[in-house]
Amino acid sequence: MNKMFTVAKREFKAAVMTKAFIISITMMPLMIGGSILIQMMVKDVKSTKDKTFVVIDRTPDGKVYAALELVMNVRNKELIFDKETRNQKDCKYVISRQKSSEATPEAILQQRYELAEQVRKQEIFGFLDIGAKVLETPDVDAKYMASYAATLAAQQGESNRDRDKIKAAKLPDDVIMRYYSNNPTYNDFIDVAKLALNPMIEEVRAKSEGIDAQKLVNIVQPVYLANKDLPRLNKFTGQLEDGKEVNPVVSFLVPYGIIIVMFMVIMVGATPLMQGVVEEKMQRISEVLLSSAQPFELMMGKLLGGVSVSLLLGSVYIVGALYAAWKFGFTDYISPGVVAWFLVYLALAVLMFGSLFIAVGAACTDIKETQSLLMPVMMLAVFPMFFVVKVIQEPDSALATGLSYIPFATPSIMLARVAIPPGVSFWEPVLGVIIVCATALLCVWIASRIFRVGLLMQGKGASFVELAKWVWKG
Amino acid sequence: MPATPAVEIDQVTKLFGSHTAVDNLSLTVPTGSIYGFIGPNGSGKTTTMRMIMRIIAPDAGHLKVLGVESFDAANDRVSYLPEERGLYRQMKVRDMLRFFAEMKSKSVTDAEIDGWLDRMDLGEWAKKKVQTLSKGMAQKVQFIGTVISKPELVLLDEPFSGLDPVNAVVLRDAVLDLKKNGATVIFSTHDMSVAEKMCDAIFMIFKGAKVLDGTLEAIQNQYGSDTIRIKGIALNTTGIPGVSHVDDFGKYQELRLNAGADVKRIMQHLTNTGTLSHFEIAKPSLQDIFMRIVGQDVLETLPVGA
Repeated sequence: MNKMFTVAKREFKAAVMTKAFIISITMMPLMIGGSILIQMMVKDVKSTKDKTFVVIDRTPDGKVYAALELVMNVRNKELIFDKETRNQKDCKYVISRQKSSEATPEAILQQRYELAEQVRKQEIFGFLDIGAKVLETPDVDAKYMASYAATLAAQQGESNRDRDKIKAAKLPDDVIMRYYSNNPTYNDFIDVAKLALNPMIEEVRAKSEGIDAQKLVNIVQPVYLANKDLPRLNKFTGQLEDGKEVNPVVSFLVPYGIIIVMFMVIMVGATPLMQGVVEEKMQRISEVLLSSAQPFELMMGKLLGGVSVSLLLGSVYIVGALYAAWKFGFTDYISPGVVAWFLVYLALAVLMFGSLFIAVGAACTDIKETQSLLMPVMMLAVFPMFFVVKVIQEPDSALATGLSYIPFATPSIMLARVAIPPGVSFWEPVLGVIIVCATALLCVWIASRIFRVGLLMQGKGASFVELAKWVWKG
Repeated sequence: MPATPAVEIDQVTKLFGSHTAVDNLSLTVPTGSIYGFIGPNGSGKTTTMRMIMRIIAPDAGHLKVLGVESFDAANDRVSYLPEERGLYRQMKVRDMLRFFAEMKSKSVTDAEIDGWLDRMDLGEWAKKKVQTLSKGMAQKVQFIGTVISKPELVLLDEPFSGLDPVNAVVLRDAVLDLKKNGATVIFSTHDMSVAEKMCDAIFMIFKGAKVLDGTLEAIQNQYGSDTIRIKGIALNTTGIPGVSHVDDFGKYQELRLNAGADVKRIMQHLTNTGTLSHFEIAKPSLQDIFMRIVGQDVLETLPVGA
C-alpha cells in the first residue's frame, strides 16, 4: 500500500513541477481572458479614412436622398466623435447624388455599370440605388408581397432555406433599395442607411395615407417577449421570486466550457502517465521498479498520481470559473451540484483513460510508436465532442440520454446534461457513475495485464493481436 | 554462523513459448558470500536473475530467496543494480535516492543520503538533476540507490562497466563493505578479472544449464595445469606437437596442452626458431575456461562432473 503512495507522490511531483503544468495552470485562463479582452477592445476600432458613396434616388422628388443627407450630416459632425475626448472613432461618409438614368432596364444597368467601374478604380467605396416606388405604400395583394416579406426575414435570419427564397423572389426593381460595393463584409453603411431611411419612408407613406406617423410607429412597436427562468421559492427569505431573464449565450457557453475544460484536464492528467511509462522502459527504470513492487501497485500508484494532478488542475479552473461567474453575474449556472459531479466524473475519467494511456505506454518501446496506438484511445475520448452542441440544445432527447450512458462519453455528456437546466433526476448521474466505475475497473484490469508483460519488453512494440494475447493469458 | 543460504535454486525450469531459457537449474548461494554469475548473452543468466528478483516466476522447481519461497515476499530485502541506467532523468539526485529507499519501505534522512554521496565523491550533486550527471557519476548514484536500503541480498549487473580506475576502486571498496556487514552479493559480469579477483565462488550458465559452480580454485583444478603462457620474439606457435589450441593475446600467447604432452619438447620447439622471455605452466584463466565452454570446442573440453 505504502509503495503505491510513494509512486503516486513521485508521479504527482514529476507532473506538477514542470514548466508545462505551470503554463497550463496559468496560461490557459490568461489566454482565454486575454482573447476576450482583446476582442472587446478591437471591436470598436475602425478606420477613420473617409468613405465616398454615390446615391441614385429614383423617387420623384429626391426626398429619400434629402433625408439621407440630413442624417449623414449629423453623423459626420457629431456621431462619429467620442463624446468626451472628441476623437474621431469612425470614418466620414461623404455622399453625393447622381441624376437618375432613364427608367429603361438597359439605361439603369448601364448607369450601375459605370458606377461599378468607379468602385473598382477605388474612386468611390460603393453606391446606393433607391428604387422609384419606395415611398409608395405597397399593395398588400401584390403578388410579390410574400417573397418580399420572406426576403426581409431571410436577411435577418440568413438560413440556407431562406437564402434560396431570396433567389426565388422576383422582386420588382423599383420597390427596393440596392447597395453595391466591392466589400461584401462591410455592413456599417447599410446599417446607417436602413436606420436613416426606413423611419422616414414610413412617415411619408403614413402622411400620404392620412395616418398620424407617430401613432403608426407606436402601433407597430413589437411586443417584447422575455425568455425567463421559472419562478421559485427562495429558501432563505421564504418569499416567492420571479424567474430571472435567461442569457442564451451564457446558458450555452457554460456547459460547453465545462466539457472542454474537462477534456483538457483529462489529457493533462493522463498523457504524462503514458510518457512516464515509456521513459521508464527506455531508461530501464522498470526493472528496478519491478524488483521493488508488484506491477499492480506500480500502476495504481501512477493512476493515483494522475488523478491527483487532474483534480488539482480541475479545482483551479473551477475556482476561476466561479470567480468569473460571480464577477459577471451568472452564478446560477454553476451550482454546487455541478461542481461536485464535475470533480467526481473527472476523477473517474482519468482513472478510465489514464489506465488505457498506461497500457499504450507499456505496449510501446519509444515515443514514436505510441502515436499510432494512441489514436483509438484518443478517438474514445474525443467522439463525445462531436455531439456536444446537439446535447446542449436538447439535453433530454434520446440522443443525449443514450450518449450519456456510453461509458467513455458519460463523464462529459452526463455532466453537460446535469449542467443544463432543467438538469436531470438524481439517479441518472449516479447510474452514470456506476457505469463509469465498472468500465474504469475493467480498463484498469486490462491495462495491468498489458503493463505486467509490456514493462519488460524491449526491442519492438506490440501489435494489437499480441496485446490481446497478453490480456487473455496474463 | 551461516544460517539459511541467501538463494536456493532447486531444479528450476523456465520456458518462454517453445524456448527453454533455464533448464533444470540447481544452485545454492551461501549467505555472506560474493558469488559471480557468468555466461554469454542469451544463456539464461538474466532470466535466472529475474527469478531471484521475483520479477518472473519459475515454471517448475523451487526457488527460495532469503529462506522465503513465496512470490510476494522478500522484495524489500533484495536489491538490484541494472546494467544500464535505471534513473529518472528529471529527478534531483537526493529525491531519486529517497525514492529508491522508500520503494524498499525504508525511510532515510537527508544526512544518510548525503553521507553516501560524500563517500562516493558526489557531495555537490545532491540537488542537481540526474540528467546532469556523467555516465560514471550516474552509475555511482545508481549503486547508492541499490544499497541505501541496507538490503541483505544485492544483485549487481556489470557494476564496473564504464567506470574509470579511480571510481572502480571506490565501488569495489563499497562492495567489500557490504560483505563485511553481512550482505550477500551476486555479481553478473563479462569481466573475468573482476570475477576472479572478487568472487568467493563462480557460477556459469550456458544454454540454460549450469556448466560451472564452485570456487575459482576448484574450477581451475578440474582442468589441471594444462596451459602454458609464453612471451618472446619470433615464436612459431603453429604445428607444435602436443598443443591442441593456441590463444594469441598480442603481448603473450597461451598454449593448451593435450593430455600427456611433453613440455620439454614444446620448449625446445619454440626456442628452435625464436627467443623465449617467459614460459609459465599454469592453470587456465577463467577467461580461457569460459571460451572453451562457449567456443567451438565445447564437446572436447567439457570437464567431467560439470
